[in-house]
Amino acid sequence: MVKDKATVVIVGGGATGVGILRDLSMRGIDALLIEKLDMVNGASSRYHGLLHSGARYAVRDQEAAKECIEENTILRRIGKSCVEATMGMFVQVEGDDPDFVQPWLDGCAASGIKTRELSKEEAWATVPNLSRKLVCAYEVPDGAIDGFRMSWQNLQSAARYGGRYKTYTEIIGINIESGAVKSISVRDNVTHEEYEIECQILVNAAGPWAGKVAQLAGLDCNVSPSKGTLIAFNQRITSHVVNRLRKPSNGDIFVPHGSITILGTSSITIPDPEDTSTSWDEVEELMKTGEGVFEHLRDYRILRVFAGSRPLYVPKGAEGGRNASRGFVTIDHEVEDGLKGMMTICGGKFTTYRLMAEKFCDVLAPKLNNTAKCRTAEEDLVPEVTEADKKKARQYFPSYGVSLAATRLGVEKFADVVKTLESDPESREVICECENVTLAEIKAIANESTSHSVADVRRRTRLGMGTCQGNYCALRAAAVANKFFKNKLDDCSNSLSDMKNFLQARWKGITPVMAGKTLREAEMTRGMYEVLFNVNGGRPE
Amino acid sequence: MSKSDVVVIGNGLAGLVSALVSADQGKKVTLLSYGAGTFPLNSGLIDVLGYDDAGKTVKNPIEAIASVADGHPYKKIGVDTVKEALDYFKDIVKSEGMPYVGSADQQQWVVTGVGTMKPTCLVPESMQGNKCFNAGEVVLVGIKYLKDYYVEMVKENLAEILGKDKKYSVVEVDTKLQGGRDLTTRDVAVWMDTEAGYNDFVAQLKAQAGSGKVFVVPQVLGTKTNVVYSKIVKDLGCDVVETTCMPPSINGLRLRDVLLSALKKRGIRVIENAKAEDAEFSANRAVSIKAGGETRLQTYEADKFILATGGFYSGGITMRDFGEGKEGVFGCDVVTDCEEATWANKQLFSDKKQGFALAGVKTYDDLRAIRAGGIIENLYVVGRNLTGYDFCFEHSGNGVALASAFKAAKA
Amino acid sequence: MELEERARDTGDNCIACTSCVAVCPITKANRNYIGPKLVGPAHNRMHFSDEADYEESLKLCSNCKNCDITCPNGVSVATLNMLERAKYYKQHPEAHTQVDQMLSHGFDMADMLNKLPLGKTLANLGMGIGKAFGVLDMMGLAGKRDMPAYADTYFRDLFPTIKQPKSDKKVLFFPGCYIDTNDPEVGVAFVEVMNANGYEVIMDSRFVCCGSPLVVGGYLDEARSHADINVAVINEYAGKGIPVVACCTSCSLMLKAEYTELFAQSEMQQAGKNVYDSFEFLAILAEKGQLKQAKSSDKTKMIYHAPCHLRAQGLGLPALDILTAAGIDIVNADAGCCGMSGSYGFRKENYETSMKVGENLFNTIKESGASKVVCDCGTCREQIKHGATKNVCHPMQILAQAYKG
Repeated sequence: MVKDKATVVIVGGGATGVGILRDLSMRGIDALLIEKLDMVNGASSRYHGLLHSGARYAVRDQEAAKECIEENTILRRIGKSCVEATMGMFVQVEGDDPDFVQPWLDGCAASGIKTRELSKEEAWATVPNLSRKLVCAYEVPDGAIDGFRMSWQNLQSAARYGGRYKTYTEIIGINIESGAVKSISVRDNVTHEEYEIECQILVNAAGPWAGKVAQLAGLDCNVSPSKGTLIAFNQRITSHVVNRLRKPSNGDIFVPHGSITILGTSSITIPDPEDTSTSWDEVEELMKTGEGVFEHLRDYRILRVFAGSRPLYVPKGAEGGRNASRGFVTIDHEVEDGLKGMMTICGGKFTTYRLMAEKFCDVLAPKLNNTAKCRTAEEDLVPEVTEADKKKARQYFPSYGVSLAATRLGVEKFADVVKTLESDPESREVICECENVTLAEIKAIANESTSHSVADVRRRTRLGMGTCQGNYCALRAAAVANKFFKNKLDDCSNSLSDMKNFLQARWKGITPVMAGKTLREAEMTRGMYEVLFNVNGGRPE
Repeated sequence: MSKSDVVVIGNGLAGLVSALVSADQGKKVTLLSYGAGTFPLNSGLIDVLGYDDAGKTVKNPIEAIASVADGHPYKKIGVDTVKEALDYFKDIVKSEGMPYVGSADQQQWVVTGVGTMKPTCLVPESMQGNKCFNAGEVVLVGIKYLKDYYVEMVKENLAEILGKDKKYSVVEVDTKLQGGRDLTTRDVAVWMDTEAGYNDFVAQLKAQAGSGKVFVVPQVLGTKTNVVYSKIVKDLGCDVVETTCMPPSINGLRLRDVLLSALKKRGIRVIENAKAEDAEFSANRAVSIKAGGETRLQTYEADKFILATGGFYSGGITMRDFGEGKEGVFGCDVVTDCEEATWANKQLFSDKKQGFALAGVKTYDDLRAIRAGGIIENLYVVGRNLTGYDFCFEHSGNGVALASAFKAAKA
Repeated sequence: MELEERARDTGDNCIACTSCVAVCPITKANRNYIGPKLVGPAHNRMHFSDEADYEESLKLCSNCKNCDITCPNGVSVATLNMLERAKYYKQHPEAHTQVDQMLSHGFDMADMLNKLPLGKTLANLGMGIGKAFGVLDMMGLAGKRDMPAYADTYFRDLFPTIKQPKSDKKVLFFPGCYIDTNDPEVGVAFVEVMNANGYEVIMDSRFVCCGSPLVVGGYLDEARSHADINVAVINEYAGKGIPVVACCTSCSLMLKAEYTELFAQSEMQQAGKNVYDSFEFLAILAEKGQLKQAKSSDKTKMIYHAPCHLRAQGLGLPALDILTAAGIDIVNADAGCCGMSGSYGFRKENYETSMKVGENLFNTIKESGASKVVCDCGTCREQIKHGATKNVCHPMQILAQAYKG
């Protein structure tokens, strides 16, 4: 049954997909994005969150480096509240190859990336816990970027131009008539309903899943999912992004994000993009390398480990893994395979998602006789909450909560939340005390049509992503949020199961680092939820 | 400082009971404490054995104890000692004005703070969830603005367990404690300690009271012993049942106060904030330990030492890197079967025991510690320091703590 | 040199277990305080946040350190709170009130009065009149209290008049402001007790206030300069093998441990090792069998209140042990914080909280039937005088008396 139609349907709610949705919408093209789970659940949130200056690519791929620095500048402008302009540092420690420095400096200069040499003392003053074995350090304009937020803001921006999106909507078939895509079949993963969406052009932006989507049309698309494992630390252990100044390899980037720090990334080619499991060996490898830069790394508390799979496009005969290109490809299946109305975009990196969308849409739009120019670099993603509004709202928020909420929510939703806080004192209750999320914000997000579980709310609010890893807020959030969901995921049908699932998701990230301080917390989690709350429930006879 | 007969290290349930029993043996006892000894997280219920290895509810805990696997602390402690320890505990808390009910041969069912029920053996009078079974109507008491207690959730889950043949109703009490921080269970319990608060609470429930009804309330019936409970059941004329609660666990803190009071009566010296860091040995015996603040350590000599420093949460056992489990005071041998596949289960709420939970100090059957493969003749290990049981999976934490402490102190 | 481990880093150990909230006396007494774990340890992760962010209720923390005593994970909760408070005042120096200035800099006032003829007498008179006419209240002080009266002669001036037998065994006395300017008899008792044990007490005029009131007032930079001065003196004497001893438990905690927690300098850690609380020092002598045994004939029933800042030192209750061994009829009140916490309870806005915290102690004292209260801390003694009974003294005074037979 046909239930919906759009000129363009985009498959995949990662950075690439939302970038295309925004771009097309701003060009006046009717577009609908579908995502099989919650938005941004793949590599666009499961990466280190580095806003590249391009310096990392300065030696190997200067074209990519140039793109990075240009996009870096644009994103700082249009996505202020998603970017932390931390600056970055490239450092060498004893034992690193000194011969790598000059070519790297030359590469940066050639790519238009400003570098500044720091004395060791300057470097230590900026990042006090940097290794005492430091040899040299250079400052570059790296930053941190919040993948969740950036993607959601793209959606909000697109929505203002008529762009639409559906989460938990999975493509299960591509219906072709006379050599052209006529519609797609989808399944609602919340209600399990199946239906068709008519479209003129289908955009496959499914990232590491792009191969699987292409197969639905009987096509080949050689995507090699490459798993990247990352470690999140409980503290901001560095004020700057810290890169190792050497040939890019595993575990050599530290990115400070809000209250935490992320260390990444490994690169392992995997057959199944769904595989985000992580092993002790992967963690150990990252830690070992990381220790080179921060000697006392093992004394810092790890919050969790997570992994995402990058969509590396491998042209036939080329090798995958770290050496596969971080560049992207546009495949017009009409040209390649003779199938009209289907295009695939694959590869690339988060920092250049906007540029990728621009280039891609420059190919797509003419097919629809649309000649509008790309405007995505000109307009801010979302209007910023003004300082005056933040100041006024401060009295209702927990301390340290206003700015965080303002950047998370954006101007309209923030105003709604403030109104709730003003009128309803109960809504001022702080549900997540580590990341300062109020009941009002939880309610606002829970009420959205895209929320079907506490985990969905978590991705929007940072609920449960701090020190206690959900020990306290799991109960609170499940009890207050679950009742607002119009449709619920199967395994989150009531507050108790939602709570258990939420904690289980946290657990997945904890088990690979079940040593040191993490053990303390794990024993506490179990003491609370198994002993005090017996969440599995007993049945007296 | 003058030598003690017994030095107990740790002030959780196992530590305090070890000190009490030792003192009752006529010993001069010094107790070293560091931190709050898990009481803020402790239900204050004496779980003996809630679930067997297959995760099935144990009907008769004392019977089941007889057949636990080798290596389980209960195997070492023995059935009779467990019984004696429970009796001892009941005597102590009764004499301190906070009587417990229940026994080792059947489960008491307690209503949890999320509305599930949990099996345990000894419960304070205020937490007898069993009273819900025969009630015709369960009145669930919510408290306006109270954080960490969600009465609708409790109702939904409790009704699921207790069945549809009962009536369930909800009444919300307004404490009028507005302004200031989010309202916590403890705030309400402190309010209930006051006469005005108590009277207000009772007045708001009075209309709902009646025969055949039971009130289920969050853990707010005062911060001390069972005084509020005893009064309120009389004033309301029907049963009142407290649930467990999110930390800080009020009942855990009540139990702590009661036990500390008992310690004081016995003249047991408590050294606060004294982290035990090192021990001296002579042949197979521990001679003294060093403990103290940041700046310097003091030496504590004794004829006998009882190690009750807890597990991973309390820092009694640590493991900085995989496989390198450590007990920090005496350097006892620690079991850490650190295989990636079994150390932590894929599921948090698993159908089997978690490997890391089984980690702990190796002991002989009489609970004497093993160090470098040999015995330490005068060092006993109790509570979560012990290897071989998963207190969360089994619901056996306070039972093992209590019984092992009793055995070690008597030895 | 900077130390690897700062108090700040101990915040990383916090797993939000809530033990500190459960025992915090202020949290219990005042619903406006959000509780220890939610201030220092939690906000310690928020370095990135904007400057306007500050937890208002942090002003309610009294730095009593019961949170530290309770923490199973070694988090220096109170110090993290003080660091956060300091950060705020550094960014907002204008937020400091006249009362902050006065209570944190009591030593300045005391010095000034000492230089004026009749300065102290008139000041004491003035405080009495000020209390009667509500002036203290208007200034932001707890008008219901007596402000501690200045002694006629400060200990610094009294000390040179004390005749001591010479000895090779010397200790350097750190009197601290309260004993120096308000309660010099404690200092005199200390000298008597040390002399009785064969020690000669010496003083060094370079010592300044330990800085504890500066820290709680948010004057961290000033506290640092005090620390640097004191630490240099302490280390100088360490080189001569002369230990530094303080009778005030807040001073001794500051010198022993808090400097290092706050400022993370290795010379502070080194200095801390040369500092002893007075009864800690005596207990160590006792352990070596070198303490002169006292035999008291005093039959007065006494009750002992252990200051929180002593409990935080992790060395037990040495004064209680020693007085008990001397045959004094003394029991431990074991009734928690007195609520005063240095200058905390002297603030008008904290008065009610302070008294509520102390209620349990006051009741315990009243119900004990004891006619004398013994406590190592000067401001605790002020609080007990105000809330329970006037008959309060330092254990050193009891011991000195016991030595006299």
